[in-house]
Amino acid sequence: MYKRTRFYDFTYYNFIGSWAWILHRLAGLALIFYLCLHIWVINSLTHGEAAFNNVMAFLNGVPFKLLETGLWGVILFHAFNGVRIVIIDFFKGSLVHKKLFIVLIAVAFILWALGSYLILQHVQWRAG
Amino acid sequence: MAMIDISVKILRYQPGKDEKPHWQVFNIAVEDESTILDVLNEIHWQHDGTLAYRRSCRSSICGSCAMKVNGRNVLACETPIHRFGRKLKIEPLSGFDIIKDLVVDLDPFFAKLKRIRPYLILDKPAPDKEFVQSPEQLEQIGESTLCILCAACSAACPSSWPNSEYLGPAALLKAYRFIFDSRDDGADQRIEIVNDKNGVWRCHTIFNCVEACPKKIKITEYLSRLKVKVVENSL
Amino acid sequence: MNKDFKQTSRSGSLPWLLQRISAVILFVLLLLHFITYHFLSKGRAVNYQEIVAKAGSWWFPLLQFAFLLTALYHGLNGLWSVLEDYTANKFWRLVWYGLLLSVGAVLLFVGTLTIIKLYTLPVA
Repeated sequence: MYKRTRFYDFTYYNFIGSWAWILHRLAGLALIFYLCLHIWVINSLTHGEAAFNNVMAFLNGVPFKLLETGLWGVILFHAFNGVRIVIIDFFKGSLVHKKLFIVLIAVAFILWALGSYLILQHVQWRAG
Repeated sequence: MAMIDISVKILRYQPGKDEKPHWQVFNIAVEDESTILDVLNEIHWQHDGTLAYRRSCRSSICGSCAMKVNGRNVLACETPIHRFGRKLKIEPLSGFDIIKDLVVDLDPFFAKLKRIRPYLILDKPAPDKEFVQSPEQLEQIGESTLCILCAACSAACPSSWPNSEYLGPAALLKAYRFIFDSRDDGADQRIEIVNDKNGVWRCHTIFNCVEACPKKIKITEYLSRLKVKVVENSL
Repeated sequence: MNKDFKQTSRSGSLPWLLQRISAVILFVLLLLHFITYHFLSKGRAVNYQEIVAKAGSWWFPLLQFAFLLTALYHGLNGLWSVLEDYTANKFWRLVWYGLLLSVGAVLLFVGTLTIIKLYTLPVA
């Protein structure tokens, strides 16, 4: 007998449901690591105005603002697919889960574009 | 009807001979209206008699011939080859140990099914004649009784692949089928079994089971109702 | 009695429910958080005095603490659910669980400290 247990069957066809699950997990993992980072960074904001401005200068630079739009996207995906999961779990969403996914992700995408526009307006192009 | 040439890639494993499974390609001519099972029969009868696979009723009711074709779990007997074009890739069901070629060890699958006690449990004496059920009560169980135990769902579930202890969609669906049956009194025992770290909580509503089910049972919907029932019971 | 029956550990129903409840709470709080701290200071950087003034209001520590608690619970419980999917070994499950609990405790401590500090900062 040939034993088979594996982390994931990468040759299995991915339907909308499994894509949603995979991306939801990856987004969730990214967010928990971001949350750890976030709590540490905010803590460093409490060491007086000078330290605050130092940290903010870095956070308002171009690279971090671009990362922030990415973060906003990951959050929106996780949040809106999360809404889909709650609808599936409690409100018979299973019967229309593919349509739900498409509609909710479309809404999330619009919010992402809007939010990213606002975030990028905050870029401090020159330090100081 | 016309003959067409197709290329069939099959995952072979001969116990005692092969250390691990390997691919073998058969280039054969078959009728264009063939099913996957017809193709396997053609290979078995005309080309290589050592090819092992399960089949019985060839009318999608016995549940013997579930296998993975081009990345999806299907019943070989009911699936026409034109669904996949002229290149077929046939593998045994994922997540189960391989006995030989396309034949997998389904003992764990049936052991899990037994675990949830797939039979009517009665506290009261059985009625003399029939067990009356209203249409509404029957509606509760719905399609969940249609399962043919082919294991296509459990083998398609990403929660089953890394965890051989997970009860899997088939057993959980059977649990639903009895827990929500108005005639049954065994709900509490079954909920106890299902409310386990390897029970219903390993279901992450991925829907691979629904995509794989040859009977098109809305498994995830029933498992969602089951989860709510378990939560209500433990509050 | 079925001899194949093997109960591993009960539980699962409460974390499952709390994960969904915390998700709904987070959905609201996180969007509010993003609007206040990432979008609403239009055209300029978040200002120190502005933050200090905002942090001094009575609702600030309550809201932030609720946010911290639900986010930590939702995140760590989610991570635990992922780890549970892939860890059958009892020893490793215990190690993971202990690790997640300690990480949670440390982050809760640091986060609470930050909230208190921000709340008590003197307004210039």
